[in-house]
Order: sequence, then structure tokens, then C-alpha cells
Amino acid sequence: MKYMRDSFLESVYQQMSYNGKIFVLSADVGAPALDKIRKDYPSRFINTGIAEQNTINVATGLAMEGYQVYVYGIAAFFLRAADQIRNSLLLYHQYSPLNINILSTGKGISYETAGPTHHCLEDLPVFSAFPGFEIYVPSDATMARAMAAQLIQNGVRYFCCDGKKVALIYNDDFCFDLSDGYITRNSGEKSCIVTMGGMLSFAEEILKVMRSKGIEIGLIDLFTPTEFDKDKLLSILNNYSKVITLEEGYREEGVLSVQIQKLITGTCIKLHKFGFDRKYIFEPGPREMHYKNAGITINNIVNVL
Amino acid sequence: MENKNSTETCSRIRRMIMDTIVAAGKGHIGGSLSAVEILVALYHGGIVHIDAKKPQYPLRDRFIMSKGHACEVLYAVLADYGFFSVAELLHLGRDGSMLGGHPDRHIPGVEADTGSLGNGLGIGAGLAFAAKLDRNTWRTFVLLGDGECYEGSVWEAMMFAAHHSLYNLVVIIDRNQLCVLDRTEDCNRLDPLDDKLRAFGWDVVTVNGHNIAELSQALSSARSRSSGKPFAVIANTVKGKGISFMENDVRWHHGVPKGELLEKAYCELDYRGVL
Repeated sequence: MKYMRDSFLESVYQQMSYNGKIFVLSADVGAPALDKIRKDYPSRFINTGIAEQNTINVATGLAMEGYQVYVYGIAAFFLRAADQIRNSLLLYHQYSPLNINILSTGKGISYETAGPTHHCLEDLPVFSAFPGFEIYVPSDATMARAMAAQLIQNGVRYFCCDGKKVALIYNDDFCFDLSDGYITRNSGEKSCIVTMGGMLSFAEEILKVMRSKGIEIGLIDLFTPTEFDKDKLLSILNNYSKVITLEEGYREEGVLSVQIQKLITGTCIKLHKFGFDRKYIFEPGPREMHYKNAGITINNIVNVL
Repeated sequence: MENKNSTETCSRIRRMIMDTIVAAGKGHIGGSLSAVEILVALYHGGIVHIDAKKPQYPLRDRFIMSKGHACEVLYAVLADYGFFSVAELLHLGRDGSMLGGHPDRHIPGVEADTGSLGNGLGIGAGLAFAAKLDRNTWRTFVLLGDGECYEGSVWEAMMFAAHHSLYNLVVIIDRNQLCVLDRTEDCNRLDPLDDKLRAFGWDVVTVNGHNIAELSQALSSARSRSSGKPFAVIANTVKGKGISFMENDVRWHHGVPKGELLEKAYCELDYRGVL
């Protein structure tokens, strides 16, 4: 189990030793790996305070002058800076490419007991509508590190990390090819689960249950739900009669369900969507309870498979 | 210095603004006319060190028109300064024109995309921080509208700039006292604006925003100050300045005079218009 954000920031820290143009901003959000950056590279780090709008504007200005900028903050509150992301950053980026990487923590309901102000089921649907904004959802800390290490060219990216430590799915020596936007975790016979983020470990449990029944199911880790190779993924999904989207987002409006629905329209593939009801969640309780309330249980999914 | 040349330049810019909005059939005329002397002082007065022939020269000063809706005055000044053809002004908003209703980076001389108010100062703070970090001597200038100062992001940036001692950042506030519907003091009081800025850690001077000499003197000092603080110039202006029936009238935030009013505007600007 490891925090995705720490693995990501550890890679950034390593890169800062030989890349003097890396600059890190935090909207007053901490992480052990960030402490190392603050300590060893104080001139290239700013705590901008709880001021997400200004943080994005300052990041834009720095990137306009050639800096490779990382902005760290809480997912729910980057929605507050949606205007600055769109109007200050992305408009400029379309004409003159910038290098800005927004690292958010607290994906979905990972701040499970913090209440609806800290839940964030809307960032991916909103940001996926912004042209030029690349969205990445690492499914574990190993993938988060690989993303930080590999995605260093110009681009405006949103890395959406779970707020909790997440089980390691990928080994340290896993060779990530991020170019297709997805990784095939398993190939199956009739049904395939498409998921992303911390939900992948949940899907791996389902895979084991089905395997114990003698059934192989497909499993796709769609770590970039907007930038993936659509032709390639469709050719894979066409091998199945049933596809299940599993996401910590709204069942119908979640970025996975929308993207996969769009992808398979016109095919004979039957789509089942697992996600949350479109309402705010006030009841405190562990994540598993919220999953159960939304019908996201291994039994329910196995029944559909 | 206030001289015949600068007076003539301001008159010419006002006529160009008029021609632009008459040709487009729309435009933010009030806030454009209030900012004429500010932009003329910055560009024609030599405050902003920039060469129209090398708009991307790395060591140029940066100017961000944060009150992007008043693009007509920016376009007129940039065209008059040589960034692009004056004739282009008459195509604003038309199919194939490079000039849209708010400034964007496709336009030579425009540094940032503005139009969503409240963002120019934060972007400027990022630019100024980068210049300081890289030990560059160029300055960043940002023009804010006073109505724009209702945006919280402006004050986030004000705090940031002062905390990080961005001595190389200059903000000019076009204090024309009017927002879209009301006088600012009847909407949410901005005054005492100078005290607020000082409390935020800025050096502040207040000038007559239609007096080139006062503007030039204040803005010239931007490079010689030693306080280490960012610098704010509150330019007291009149919205719609130069056309009597538009002055201090909220109805002329946006619009184009027609018929007798157009004739009167031409008469007061002492020309006949190009259309």
C-alpha cells in the first residue's frame, strides 16, 4: 500500500536534481515527498496558500517563461480554479504549448469521512470537457511514478490520485507503455470490466472470484479516460458481448461510462455501468459502506458478469 | 511629459477606437476611452520596453491587459505602435479577422488571453516571479479595471506579489468608478482602494489617469524604486472620456452611438470617421 501522490512527487524530486526548470507549487497541501522538495529545492517551490485560482494563474505565468510546473492540491478544490485552468492556461496552451502538471489528491470519495465538500465525483467529467486538458488516473503508486517520469514533454495534464494509500498492482519493474492510454490486465471470454484508478484493485478481486468459478473475464485499466487509442480499445472490446464500466464517479455521467458508451455505440456490446447515484453523500462511513449503498459490490458485479 | 504629441496621439487613439466599434457594430467603448492615456503613456511614452518588430523578444517587458473587454483601446494602441496594420481594426469580429472581442495570443503584442476578469494579475505575478528567479531585468505591467477588483483572485494575487517581493510587477488600476450596472461605490465599496493596496504590502501612488505627465512620472519610477515592493498606480479616470454624453454614464459600458449621437461623437473627436 502506498500513496500515489508520494510516488509521483518522488519522481519529480529526482528530476529536479538535473532539471533546473522544474517548479513546484502547492495550494497548502502536504505530502512527505513534498517535504523533501521544499527542503532541498526551496527556490523552486512555493506554498501558494489556499488560493487555487491564483495558484493556477501563477503556474501559467511561470510556464509562459519556460518552467515545467507541477501544481499540487486537493481534487475537489481544483474545480474552484476551473475558470483559470480553462481561460488562463488552456487557451494559451492551444497556441503556445506549456508544460503544466496538476497533481490532485482526494479522487472520488477517497476522503470518505470528510463529507461531500471533499468528495469529488465531478472533476473528471468537467475537466474532460476542456479541450487540450489531458487526464490521467493512476491506478497505483507504481503507475503514478511512471507517469511522472515519462510525461515530461509539453502538455497540460491533470493527474487524479486517490487520497488513500492504494494496494500496489504493478510491480516496480513493470514496463509501462502509456501511449495507448490503457493496459490490458487480463483477457477473457464473454465479459470485460473497464476501470481506472484505485478501483482497479477492486476489479482484480472480482477477477479472482470469477476465476475461482472457472470463468476468465477481461480487465482493462483505462488510465487515461479521454486520450486513449479509441480504435485499438474498440477492437479489443469487440471481442466481448458484455462490457462493465466500474468507476468512482457518477453511474451515468462518470467519464468512463460516457466514454465507453460513446465508444461502443453502434456495436452489439451490452454495457453495464457501476458507479454512484447522482447525489451528494452526507452519510459518514467507510468507503466500503458507500460502495455498498451505491450497489458497487462484488456480488452485484459478479451477477452481471 | 505632457506635450502636443501625446495629446495628438490620444486623440488619434480615441478616433481609432470609435472607428473600430462603429465598423464592428459593437464594443466596450466606455472602458476603452477611460484607458487611452494609460496605454499611450505605457507604449508611446516608452514605459514598456518593447519592439513591435520583435514582439517575442525574450527580454521585452510584458504587458497584460487584464480588463480584456476594453480590447478596442489595446488594439488601437498596438496598431498605432506598429504591431499590426491599423486597417485591421476595421475588421474586428469579422470572419477571417485576427481581432476578436477579447485579446488572445494570436494577436501580435498580446501576452495573455484575457476576458475572464481577475486573472491577469495572477498571471503577471507568475511572470514577474520567473523574471526574478532568472535574474532578468524586464518588468511586468498589468492593467486592471476597478470593477475587476471585485474578483477574489485579484486579491489572492495581490497578497502573493507582496509576500514574494515582486518589485518588478506594476499594476495600473483604471479607476473610472463605474462597473456595468452601477457606480462601484454603490455596488460594493472599493474605497479606500489605496489604503487597501498598502495594507496588502504594495507601494501605491494615485494619479490623474488622463494626465500623461502624471502617469509617465509615476510609471517611470517603477524601475527606480528601492522598497522591494510591487507597485500600484491608481489612475483616476472617467469612463467614456472624450465623448461628453458617454462620460460617467453606465449606459456606455458597451454600445455604439448612432444617428445624432454618432454625429455628436464625431464632432467632439473633431473628425468625420472613416466609414
